[in-house]
Amino acid sequence: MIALLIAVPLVFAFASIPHERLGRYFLPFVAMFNLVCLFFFMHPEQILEVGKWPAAYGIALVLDNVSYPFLIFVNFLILMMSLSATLENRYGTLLLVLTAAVNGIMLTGDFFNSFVFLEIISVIAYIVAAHKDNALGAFKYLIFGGIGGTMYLLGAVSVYVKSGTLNMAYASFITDPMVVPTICIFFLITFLVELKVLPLGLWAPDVYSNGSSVTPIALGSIVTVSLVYLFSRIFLNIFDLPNPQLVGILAMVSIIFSELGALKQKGLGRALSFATISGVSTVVAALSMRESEITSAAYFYLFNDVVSKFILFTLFAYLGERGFKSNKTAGIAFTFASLSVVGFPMFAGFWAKYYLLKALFQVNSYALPAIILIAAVIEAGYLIKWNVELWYKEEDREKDREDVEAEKAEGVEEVEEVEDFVPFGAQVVTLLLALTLVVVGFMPGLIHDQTMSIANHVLDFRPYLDLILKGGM
Amino acid sequence: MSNIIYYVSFIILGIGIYGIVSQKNLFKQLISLSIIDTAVNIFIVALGYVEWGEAPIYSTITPVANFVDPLPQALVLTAIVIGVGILALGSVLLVHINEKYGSLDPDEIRDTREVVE
Repeated sequence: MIALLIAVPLVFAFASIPHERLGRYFLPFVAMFNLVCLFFFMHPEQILEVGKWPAAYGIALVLDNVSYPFLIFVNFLILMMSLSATLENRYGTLLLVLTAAVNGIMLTGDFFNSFVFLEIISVIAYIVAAHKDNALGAFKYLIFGGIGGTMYLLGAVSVYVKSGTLNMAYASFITDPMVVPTICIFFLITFLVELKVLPLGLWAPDVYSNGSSVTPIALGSIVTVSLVYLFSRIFLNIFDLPNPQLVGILAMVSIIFSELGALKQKGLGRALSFATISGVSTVVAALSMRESEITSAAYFYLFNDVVSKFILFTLFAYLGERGFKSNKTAGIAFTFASLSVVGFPMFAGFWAKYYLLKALFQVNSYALPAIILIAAVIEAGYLIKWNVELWYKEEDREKDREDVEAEKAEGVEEVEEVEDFVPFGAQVVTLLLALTLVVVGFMPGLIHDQTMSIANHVLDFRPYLDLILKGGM
Repeated sequence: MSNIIYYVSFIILGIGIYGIVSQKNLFKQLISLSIIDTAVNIFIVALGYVEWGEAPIYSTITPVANFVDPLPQALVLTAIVIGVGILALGSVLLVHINEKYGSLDPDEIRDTREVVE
């Protein structure tokens, strides 16, 4: 049954090849199908051994208490993107394959299989990154991602050499003090590239700022969440991250530089791109500490960051040269998302930062809280600036409307009406997500209970191993 | 013997990394990435090598005990396919870049962008 989460998107992707335009219409239904399956027909603690090969020899798909909530979140984001983004026909098929690959990477319990899914995600990511004639940005990503993918392959093969299997659970039995750090370094390089931690994440600003309503959502939200899951699985569940302080320092440096980068940008797209780097770097820095409360807070932070950036990037894609005067719904969603990113009270972002700071103080960690607070001040600076600029912007649209009225008054026939610049679907989705941030702001327990449960499960390797062993050796 | 292959693969890996770091031309960077892929593939195949080993195919004339490890070979086949796909995609992107900026040199591309902006 759990294989349907991979198989159904793939079947529809192939079905959409002869009829290209169908792909984008299939996408919301496939995402909805996955969500219905997850909510009503699937439950955590399921394992599927592909071809009935025991987990140690074959590929095992594992649905546990960690992958289950991540799958729900990612498929929800895919559904939202399919409703809000302006999809060209050819992107429908690609995004269906992406859906299969992100579901696959979160379900698989096999290192090589996860490499294959990672490469499928990467190839689609390069194509999506090239949207809006952005081949140069996509090529930069391809070079960084190519190196990252190679390192992941080396890590997977190293696991096989030392454990005799590619299964993730069995890999945890590798105890050689020389080999484990080497394997972890290979994997870590991949994650630093894909999770955009500077300097290896330098490809991101060029890619995310291309003005597409697909690229930053697909890569910055959907792919990022699935890779944070894989990062957690490998470094919190299976292996111990070697030298976590170094990873933490790297991520903290990334936060500072990305925030300064965001502050310096003249364009909103690049500013948001750097802000995304900062958000994910904060999550990586927090996860590297391997502590239950901090991990939970990091997932809460991830939730807020991904939802907020979803709104901001979607509206940025439709803004063009216009402001919010004539589209207040979009403006309200944008402002709510900005306030949540900054951590303003009554928004999800406030609790994300509160839980993270509280958990860090409890373990006497002060460097990361200081950086988070400084980053919040910088974020407040440039996001408020952009909000003010967009709310008070003199719009060409007003002039357009006056022109239209003037033409009508002059009796010109077939005058083109000025349409809202944000499509109805995008308006509904962004407003819905903005309201979600407010609701979570008032009821943080809705998310916090879930993130706490994920954190407790991800830091406890035993249930995962038991689930794999239940399938038999 | 197998150790030599490891060294060779790491030397090729080093050449690939040097190429990416030192070459400005985007096409040369893509080729360097391909060299890295090849080096890793050689390394993985070498891992499954067994001295005087046989092809891992069960038959009446093949001794059962001395097969080379087939799994790295299977992994490399997949990795090669993925590598070729990425190389092809990278080449397509380079064609687009060349059509847009008239060059694959980052400095010239930057100059063209500044003129356009």
